[in-house]
Amino acid sequence: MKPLDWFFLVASLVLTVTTAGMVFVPTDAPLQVQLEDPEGTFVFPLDQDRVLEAKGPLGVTTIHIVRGGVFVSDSPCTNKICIEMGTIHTAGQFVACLPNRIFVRIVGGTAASGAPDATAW
Amino acid sequence: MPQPGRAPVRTQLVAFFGALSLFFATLEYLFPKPIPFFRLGLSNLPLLVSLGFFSFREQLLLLLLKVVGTGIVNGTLASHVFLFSSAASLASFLVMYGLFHLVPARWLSLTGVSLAGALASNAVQIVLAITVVYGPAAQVVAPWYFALGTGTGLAMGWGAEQFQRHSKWLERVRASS
Repeated sequence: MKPLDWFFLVASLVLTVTTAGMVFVPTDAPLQVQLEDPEGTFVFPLDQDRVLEAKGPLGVTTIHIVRGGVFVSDSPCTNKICIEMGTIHTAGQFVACLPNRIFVRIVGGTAASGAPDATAW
Repeated sequence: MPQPGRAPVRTQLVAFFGALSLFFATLEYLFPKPIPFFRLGLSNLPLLVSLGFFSFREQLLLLLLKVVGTGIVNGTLASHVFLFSSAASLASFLVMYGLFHLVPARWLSLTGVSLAGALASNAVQIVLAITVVYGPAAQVVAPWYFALGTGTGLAMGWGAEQFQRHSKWLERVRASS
């Protein structure tokens, strides 16, 4: 590794830590599901089960809020990455469908101890 | 059979590297994607490896082949996703090409070039995701993109460097071009 290789490596790591610090700020607010689609931004409580239908340019993406978790069950996109991402449970996690322009994330308080984490991986 | 003369050989070479890019883009399907539209960047390997002997125009042509080809392979050519990945690829290429040709080799290797390219690509994708596609909520992808981009940028740069150092085929290509 040469001097500027180290510079870009450190810069990448600093950017990672800085953006993580900006995004994953713990709050005492209740956990909520924030849905962004081309029609706007909508917020739903995480502790109330429901089925959401978000309309994007390709069609309807179906999102379920079930037992404190959120997952996409159906999407008109071709690669279905949003479905493969599985269920998210904690603040900061997200499910996104780029082709259909749907973005779902959990906002609010930090995860309860013992709750699953990094399920987006 | 390759025809004698410089230009045809290089055109064939660009086409061959473009085909390699498409092959690597297809290989990416073997790997699970932890976040939407994040790429390992395997299709950037031919771009990285050829930085030393393709001219700017040839590199641009290779980039065009890569971007359009991967758009066809991924089925995103006619969607906004294509603009998204094109902008990221162009930013990454300009940064990599500029650094490779402006910074002396004793200061920077292909690993650093690749890391800088990954940084540029991910920064552009995050900005576009926030400003054009999703809105402010998309900022949550930033740490994941930068973290994964650091890992893949390092791996691709190291791989390209090893290939440049040890490949007899690349040595012959360089000598003949």
